[in-house]
Amino acid sequence: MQTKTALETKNLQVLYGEKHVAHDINLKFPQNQITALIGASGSGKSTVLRSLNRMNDDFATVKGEINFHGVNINQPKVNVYRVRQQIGMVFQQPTPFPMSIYENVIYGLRLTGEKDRRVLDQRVEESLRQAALWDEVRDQLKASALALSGGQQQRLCIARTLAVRPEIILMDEPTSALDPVSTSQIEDTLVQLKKHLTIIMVTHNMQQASRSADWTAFMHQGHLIEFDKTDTIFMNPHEQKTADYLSGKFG
Amino acid sequence: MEDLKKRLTQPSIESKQEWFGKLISYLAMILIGGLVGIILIFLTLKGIALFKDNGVGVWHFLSGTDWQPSHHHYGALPMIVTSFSVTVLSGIIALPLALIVAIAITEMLPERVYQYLQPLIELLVGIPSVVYGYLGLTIIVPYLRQVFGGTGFGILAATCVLFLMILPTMTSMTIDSFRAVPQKYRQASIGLGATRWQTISRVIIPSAKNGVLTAMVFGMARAFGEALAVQMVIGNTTVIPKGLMESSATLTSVLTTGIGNTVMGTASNNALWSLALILLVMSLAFNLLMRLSSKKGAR
Ligand SMILES: Nc1ncnc2c1ncn2[C@@H]1O[C@H](COP(=O)(O)OP(=O)(O)OP(=O)(O)O)[C@@H](O)[C@H]1O
Ligand SMILES: [Mg+2]
Repeated sequence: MQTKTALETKNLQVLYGEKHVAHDINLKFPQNQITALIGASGSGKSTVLRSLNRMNDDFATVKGEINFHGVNINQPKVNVYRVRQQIGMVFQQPTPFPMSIYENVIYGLRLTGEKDRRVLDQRVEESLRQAALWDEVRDQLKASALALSGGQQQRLCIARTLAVRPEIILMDEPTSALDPVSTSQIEDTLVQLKKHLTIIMVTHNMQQASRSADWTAFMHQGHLIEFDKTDTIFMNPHEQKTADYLSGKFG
Repeated sequence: MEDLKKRLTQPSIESKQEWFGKLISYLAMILIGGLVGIILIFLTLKGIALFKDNGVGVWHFLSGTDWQPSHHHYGALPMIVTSFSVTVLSGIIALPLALIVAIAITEMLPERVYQYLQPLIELLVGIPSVVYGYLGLTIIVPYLRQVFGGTGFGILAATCVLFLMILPTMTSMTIDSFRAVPQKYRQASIGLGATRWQTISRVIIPSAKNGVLTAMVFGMARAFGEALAVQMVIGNTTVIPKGLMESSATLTSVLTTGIGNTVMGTASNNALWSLALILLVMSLAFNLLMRLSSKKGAR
């Protein structure tokens, strides 16, 4: 591959109790690119995604390696809090906290003990600009985040994740709860964002994958079937299963 | 066509049931509202009789420190002070405990623990107050006597009993308000690199704050209104307490001790009704407080 790898999984396996949900996932997520994870419901996309920043620690057994900057972050002695600052997560449903917009954005920074007003102010503006929300909320930073629309809330959550300056952002169907206008705003935002960071996104929206993702991984029943450039996956996939899924034969 | 038109416009079993249900619920509402109204009016009339018919000044009643109805001294201040003291003390001691238990159960221990403990806590909530009073009488009072000397009866004993009595209620309500915090807040916070403790202190407690406040006011309202359990351990002397081990009396305990020994219509009896009026006003105030704190929580 021509680009650098931001994150790599080697023989990643995930089990919920006895239930084997992800088998031998080997993926190299290219740096400064958007990678889409697609596949039918229940194929294990969210499970794999959540394992990448150790959000599955409490629910599942995760085996195999997850390499980040040459460190296998899937081992007990790794500081999971630092991992999650570097590899942030945006959820399907917008999850603003019941506090002001400003406090929401700096939540992650506060956790690290940052108190300097200037740093905080600067980071709020920077993150909100990156998430394409600044112009809409600059005059109401002290207002409750819960008063924003769904699309604005989701961009606020993106800003909140960006505020700790992660290298990678994981997104689980970030636009599935939003209307088409908000969706395309967020897609535009993502394309802007990949200049600074790497994005890994689960989506059920095939147009979204083909529009914004550079790379696409197709999962089926817990197995990684195919991983390639998005164009290749959509135009001439190598695997029959991929072609069947994309043409709606199952899913 | 005609048939359908008829069926669409004519009353049916369903619409009759609907109408009947409405009638019953309105009647019930009127009945309950009426009863509450009658109680309020009755208590108010009886409560002000002391001031109207027996010529005792309201201010004198509220600020006087001498309570001897047989000698026509009607100073209710000692009881007011004691009632507030034991209520606030027991509430303040119970709050952190309720918080800690609620945090442990909802945020740290597995769901299974909650499923076992919840019925137990509800059982404790349902225990009649006389049982708590009895526990106080047989265990707490002798213990306090041993440790601090004196009789063992007094403010501290009452506070302990009330604390035990309201703790289950407050804990149960606090747990409920923690469980009402959406799971997605926890996920989002963890996803931003927060530890469990950071998540609890920065997101969960602030989100549950109003519910916890409501739990505390509710517990204190119960403590304020409790008569029997308090009467069993507080010593029942109507003086302003000067220390935790002093025996004293609350509004409610004086009421229960005195109401059987006075004759309806006499000044001493009216004075007790005036105490009851204070209680009523305070209960309304507690109710209002709860309304306020839970309303803010709804946002
Ligand atoms: N916490 C859990 N405990 C047990 N099983 C789980 C848990 N979460 C998911 N699973 C199971 O793991 C499998 C994969 O689920 P996952 O959520 O990863 O699928 P998905 O590809 O994200 O599906 P969707 O597109 O519907 O979101 C499913 O069979 C699901 O039932
Ligand atoms: Mg999913």
